Amino acid sequence: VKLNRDRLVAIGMVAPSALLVGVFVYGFIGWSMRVSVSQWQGLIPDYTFVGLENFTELFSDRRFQIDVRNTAVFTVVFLGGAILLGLALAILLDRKLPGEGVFRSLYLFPMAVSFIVTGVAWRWLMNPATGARTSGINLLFDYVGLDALQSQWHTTDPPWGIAYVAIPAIWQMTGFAMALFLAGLRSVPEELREAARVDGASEWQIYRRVVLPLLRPALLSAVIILGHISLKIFDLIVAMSGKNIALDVPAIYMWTTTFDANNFGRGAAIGLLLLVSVAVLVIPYLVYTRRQEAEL
Amino acid sequence: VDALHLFETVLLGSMSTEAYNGLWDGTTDWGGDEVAGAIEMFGAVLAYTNSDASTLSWDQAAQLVVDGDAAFTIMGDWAEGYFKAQGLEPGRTASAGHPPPAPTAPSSSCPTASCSRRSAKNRDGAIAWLTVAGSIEGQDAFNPIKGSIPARTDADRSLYDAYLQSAMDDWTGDTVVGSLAHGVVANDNWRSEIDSAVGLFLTDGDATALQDALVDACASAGPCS
Repeated sequence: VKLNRDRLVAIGMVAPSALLVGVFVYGFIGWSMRVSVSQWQGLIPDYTFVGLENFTELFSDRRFQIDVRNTAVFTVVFLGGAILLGLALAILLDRKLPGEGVFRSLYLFPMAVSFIVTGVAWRWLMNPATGARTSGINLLFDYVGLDALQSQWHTTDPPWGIAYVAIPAIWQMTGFAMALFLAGLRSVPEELREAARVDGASEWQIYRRVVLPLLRPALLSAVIILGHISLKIFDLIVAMSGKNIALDVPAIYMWTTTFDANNFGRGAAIGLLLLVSVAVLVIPYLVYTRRQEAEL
Repeated sequence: VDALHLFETVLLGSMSTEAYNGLWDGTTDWGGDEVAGAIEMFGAVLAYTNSDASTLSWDQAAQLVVDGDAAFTIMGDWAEGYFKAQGLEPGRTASAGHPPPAPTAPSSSCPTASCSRRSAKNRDGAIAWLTVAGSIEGQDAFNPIKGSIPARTDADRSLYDAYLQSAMDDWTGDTVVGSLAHGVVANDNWRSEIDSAVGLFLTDGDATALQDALVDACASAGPCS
């Protein structure tokens, strides 16, 4: 009887959140699927079935092609930058230098800022105006005599404009990658390093052959977490340049198609493609960690 | 949206009012020479725009005109109120109103309306406010400062400056056409398709692709199907 009551209480505790997730996540995914194969345009729902028309139109849509290319460039630059810088900072902090706590907080703080705030601040910093109206980083370059480094920033011609948008994203998320790697470094047993030193390995070889391989789980977590942020990026770009097509990404296209154009069928199709792209990244990771937990 | 607004202004400026209106009911051909000419002119006008256009808000853009760094900006008549607040006089230090290529009337109307709910808590207050807002005195107190023309034709013209007087004449004398960027002439889906096509043109400058996309947009979301 007691066991049954425990079970009932347990089910009762889980039920509300399971119900909410069921409705607001899985229910709405199902609804989006239904809308994505409908011809719903305008404010009145129209569930007339049109098959995969919304999807095939997207694949021949020049704007969507730009979106895919922009996402690819942004993801490569953002992940590469945040992970390399984060790893470098973590290795430096791991040297047990004085005031480590201060530096750690300092590098982690940008993560507490919303992408909107980051976007607005960096829009001012990366102002591309020239001549007397030069401002932001370009003006700084002018003061120190490095005019050659002045840039058009995110208004650079495609496909590289979007790469400059990755700079604020790197600034914001490097601290997070650093924290992940620092935790990974701290979990490397000192005995392993000692043993390598006894065997005559140089410090570089210790990192290359002993420490970095042991950081693979941290690296995987960083790629998954930063990768899904990158695929879904929206607020940072809107804050920096509005809905400028040169910097368009699927999330912005989904927004304008659904809520500016009231083309709900195509908007849902873009949303589902976004979901699939994130799922391709995240699901193997979830399977992998579950299997590891089962092994323990 | 800003590029779309510029594009619609060039469209209107480069063809007759009848042809412009015909674009929206399907009687003017989007694939024709008039639109091709407008696209060519649009490309030429773009060469005179500022590189940081996408990073400025409308008042920052208007400030460029105030400072003498820009020759034109396309905005509603409230920009006139902004110019006056900066101490400028219409017709002298800055020319508010028509951008160079648009010889016709202001391209759109955006009336500001206020409504009263029947069950409003303070019904008498709401009616009193609406009475003031709709009166000659109310209109003449608000519009000259905001930089807009009165909703009544019996307002006191002398209270309005030279630009607003000319806008009042245009409003009553010229043919008024609807604005694309403000959702008057095309439904949201069609406007968005045109917006995408114009945005793509900003990135690649491909005039043929823009015109093809405009033809497609009219067929898929407009009256040309």
